[in-house]
Amino acid sequence: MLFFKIFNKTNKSGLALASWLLIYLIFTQSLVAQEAVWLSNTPPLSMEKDVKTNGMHRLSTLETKKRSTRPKSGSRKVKSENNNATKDSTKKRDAKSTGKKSKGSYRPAPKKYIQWLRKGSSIKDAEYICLNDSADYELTLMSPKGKKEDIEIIHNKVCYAKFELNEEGYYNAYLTFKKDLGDTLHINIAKAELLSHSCRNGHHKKLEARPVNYYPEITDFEMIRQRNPHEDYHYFTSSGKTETYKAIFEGKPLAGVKVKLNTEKGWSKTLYTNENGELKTEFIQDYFSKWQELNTREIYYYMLEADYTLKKNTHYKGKDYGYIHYTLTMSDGYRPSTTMYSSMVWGLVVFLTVMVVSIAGIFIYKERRKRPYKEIKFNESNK
Amino acid sequence: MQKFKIKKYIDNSNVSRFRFWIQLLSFFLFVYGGYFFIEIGSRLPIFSCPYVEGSPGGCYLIGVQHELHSTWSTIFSPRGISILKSLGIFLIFFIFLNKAWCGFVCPLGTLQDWITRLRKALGFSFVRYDEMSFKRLKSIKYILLFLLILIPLAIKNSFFGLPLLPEGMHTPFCQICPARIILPLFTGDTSQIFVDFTDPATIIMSSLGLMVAAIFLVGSFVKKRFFCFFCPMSALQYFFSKIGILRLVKDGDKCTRCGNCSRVCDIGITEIADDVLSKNIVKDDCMMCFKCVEACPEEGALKVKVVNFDIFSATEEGFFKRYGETDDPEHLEKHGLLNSNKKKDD
Repeated sequence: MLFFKIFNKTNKSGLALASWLLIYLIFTQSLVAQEAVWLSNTPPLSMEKDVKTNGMHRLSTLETKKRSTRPKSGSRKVKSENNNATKDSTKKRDAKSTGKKSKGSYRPAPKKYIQWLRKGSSIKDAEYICLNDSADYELTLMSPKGKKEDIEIIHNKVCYAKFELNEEGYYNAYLTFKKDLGDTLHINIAKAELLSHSCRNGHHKKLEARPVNYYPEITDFEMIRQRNPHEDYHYFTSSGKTETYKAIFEGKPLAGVKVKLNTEKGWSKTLYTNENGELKTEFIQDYFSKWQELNTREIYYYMLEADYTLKKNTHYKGKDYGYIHYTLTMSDGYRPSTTMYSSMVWGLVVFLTVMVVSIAGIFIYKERRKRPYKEIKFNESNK
Repeated sequence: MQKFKIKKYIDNSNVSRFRFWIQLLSFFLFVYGGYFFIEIGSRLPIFSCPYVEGSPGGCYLIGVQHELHSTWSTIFSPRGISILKSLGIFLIFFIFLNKAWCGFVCPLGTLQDWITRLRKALGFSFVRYDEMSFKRLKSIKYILLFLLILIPLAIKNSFFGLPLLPEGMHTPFCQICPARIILPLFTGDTSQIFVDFTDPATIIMSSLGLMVAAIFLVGSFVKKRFFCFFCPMSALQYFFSKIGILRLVKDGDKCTRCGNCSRVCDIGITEIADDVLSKNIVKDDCMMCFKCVEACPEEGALKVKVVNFDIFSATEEGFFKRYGETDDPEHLEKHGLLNSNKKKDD
């Protein structure tokens, strides 16, 4: 009996302890496992029809092609957004243009580029989010020359960051949140590296894609994609190619940063930066097409999620923190393997060549075996 | 009495027509069955190719190559039991139909028969190997079987201190098997027509596969069951054909050596006519299509048995019902019964 009493007591206290532990774990996990916010180029299904793509990296745009063009579809808010864009651009054009040229001539409005705000590590399932006006965030767009440009969040059916890319080169967009996680200040930096280059505009400038710009004055912690040798604005990473990323903290390379790479097809890989702050990764082949559906320009998206915790006393909004946890997200696209098309072409060449040679061989063999008709007469009377 | 009537009906029936429909159904089953959520098994004794999107099963050869792609320590560990398990499953399937899997069920065999029909319809003549070539070439299937066992082993284990073979040669037979390239085409999948540039071994193997596929199509057009003659599955099946419950037996005393059986044989096996001593007449190249039984006019000279029960026997009545009572050379030639000498005389 005594044994059972002790057992019951210990059992109850054990149960209580386990419950508290469970609550603590759930609570702390919810603090640690914050779902990262990132900037995405992929439109939600509801807006796919309204979105067009532009440039080498097929960046999403909401553009109006002609001055009088009415948006065909989309929500009212999107329509009003488009109309506003048209009005703005018309004002600018009127100021710049002169008499004859402007009369009835086709002039595209400046393109309004878009990046959607998404939350979650899975590229396929990450939700499209909106930000409250009261939300504590900073949104910055830096031009290739390092100048701050206009960028704003549009609250629509879904929210998106809208901006113009007028210069040629790589723009950097940053959306920074700060969040209270008990003793830790969580800083989520959603970064997007956006290439502004369209071959339609000609190739007047040298297509040099280097150097990579990064801005310690905007964010302490940053990830950059290192440029490959001979990389120009026509470069697009693809399956089988190795890319190098570098973690930078306060302008210096940072070693041991945990980086998780997620691809659209669900493949994920966790890597750590080396002593130079670099990590190398090869994109796997995600695209296996039938001949008739082959599209070498298909783009799949990936998202990098880098986490770094710094033990540092800091003060934010009247509260002291012992740690700062940085989460940096960066998304871009990659194309199918460049050798895929040539593999198929070579396959077909080998297949057809052997078929033709075999047919020719059999035909020649049969022709050579043909013997002319020859009548043999036996003279039986000689016997 | 009823029993005799049924037996007579079967003996007089046209098995080739029955076989045509079975082949058609099997082809659809093994190429499109997966689309209908059919799952048969992964150790089948036919080319039910897993590279085909709609395949409801897998060929035993792909399984055995994967299993042998292991170190000796793995093979001789409890994990090695899976090799025996696979062989057991293969044998369970195999025992029921014996080599008739090739003649009635294999989709690659069916495809060759359809190409033969096309050739006939277009009026092209076919070729047969002469006796010497036949004897020389028939060993190829055993060489292929040996290599498909040896190469996966040699990728993971060194033989006589030789360097390991490259990983690019894994599943070597699948890489050169025409079924991998041709059967997916029936589901609109052309993705197997490619040269794999991963490494030199894959370049060679994938190119070789494409060559074999091309030769398969051309070869099947001029030679009946062209590929079956080189098929390592056929060689493997032959090792176990004696335990099959479906049998093809011959009564040498009743055989007149007319040669009808060997003339109608798609593979061109001559022993079936010449060998009057053996009872079990299933040879390594035989695919148990039973054309020989159909073409035999001697009562009970050739029989198809399930264990010891006759299910189909050669009968004079059946022969005449199938081929008609005529000496017309055109008619005989149509059925492949005109021997070469008579052909020359005419």
